[in-house]
Amino acid sequence: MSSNRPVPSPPGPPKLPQPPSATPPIKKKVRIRKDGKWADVDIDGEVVKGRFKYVKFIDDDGLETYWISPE
Amino acid sequence: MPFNTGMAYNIYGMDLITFTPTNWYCQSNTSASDYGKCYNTSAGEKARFVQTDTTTWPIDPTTGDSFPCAKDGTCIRYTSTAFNRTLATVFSYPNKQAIVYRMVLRSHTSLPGISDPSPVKLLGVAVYNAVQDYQYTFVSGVHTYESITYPYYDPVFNYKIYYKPYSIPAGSVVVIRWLGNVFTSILYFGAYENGQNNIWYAAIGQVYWFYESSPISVIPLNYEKDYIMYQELRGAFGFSINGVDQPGWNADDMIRVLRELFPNRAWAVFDDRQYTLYLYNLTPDYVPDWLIDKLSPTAMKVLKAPSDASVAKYWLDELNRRNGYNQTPVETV
Repeated sequence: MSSNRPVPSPPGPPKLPQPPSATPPIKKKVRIRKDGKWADVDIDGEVVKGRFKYVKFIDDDGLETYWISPE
Repeated sequence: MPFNTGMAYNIYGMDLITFTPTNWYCQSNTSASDYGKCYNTSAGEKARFVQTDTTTWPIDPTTGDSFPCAKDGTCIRYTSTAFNRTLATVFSYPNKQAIVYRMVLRSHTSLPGISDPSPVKLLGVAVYNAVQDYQYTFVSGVHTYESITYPYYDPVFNYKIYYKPYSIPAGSVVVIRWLGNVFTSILYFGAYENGQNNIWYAAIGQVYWFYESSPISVIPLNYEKDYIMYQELRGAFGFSINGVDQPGWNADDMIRVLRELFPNRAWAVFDDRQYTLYLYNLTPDYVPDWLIDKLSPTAMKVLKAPSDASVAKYWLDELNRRNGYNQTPVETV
């Protein structure tokens, strides 16, 4: 009767810790209502202030901007 | 919105929440061993004590004021008497007008106050406008021949007065509530001392007003040192003691003037057309929730991130203090 015991595999090279991913985290894209038109912007984060939620991005004028979240 | 609502607390020697009503007082009995002491004043806010005798209690340039409560930091002492003493400018709106519509006042004083038959002993704290048409309207006009019982309601000026609603160890308490309309471009908070010496008082005054919706500057300023001396500021926007309700005509002008005069301070400008709050030496982390709820900005834009966190923190702490909020300040690194 043959044994069903798994045969241990030969030890391989030690596993090295994985380096952090070189690609930046995927930016979330949201659609906001800006200057009377819809605009798709890549946001860097979200901030809750008071009873509002804002999305953060760099606006066309180069300023760090927090826009009221469409959600 | 066509109008904004402004609100300011003026606090002298009382706690905003509890008013420390029954155990708060200063000692103005000159025979008492603790004469000149004040008790249970809230930290940071000081009562007022008029004592002109600088021979017995001199003020030394190096050691400071020797008068007991001034020495231990529980009062601000005046060494000259006054009939009308302006304690603060609540707002000053060049070229604009506001409508004062509500006022709540509570004052504790060493004098008998408005129920005393002798008008010489009358003392009150009130709001009044520039031309003083309405000066002390809220506390005077009640003479013994008109009314001898309290609470008292004056249907003409539409105010209600409670005199001495409870006992304090010395002096009297006056509580006044008023709802009406006063048009003015400047409003002061002041005390009617009537030239009396050896008196003290503490008060909380809460004033509400409307003003035309406008871009506003958000920067806590000292009226005498930061505002009145700069024509540029007075041309760009009004002053308010709460540091928030400071309307101007044009947000761009306000930003330009503030950049020029206060490049190293934190400030904000709210554009009420774009509903954008511009932040200078600030980030949204430092903007208190109550300000966001009041202004409801669609966007916040950082004109300049704070190079020194203490500058932004001062702005936040001072706004909270002036508007009666005690939010936990953000951590500084």
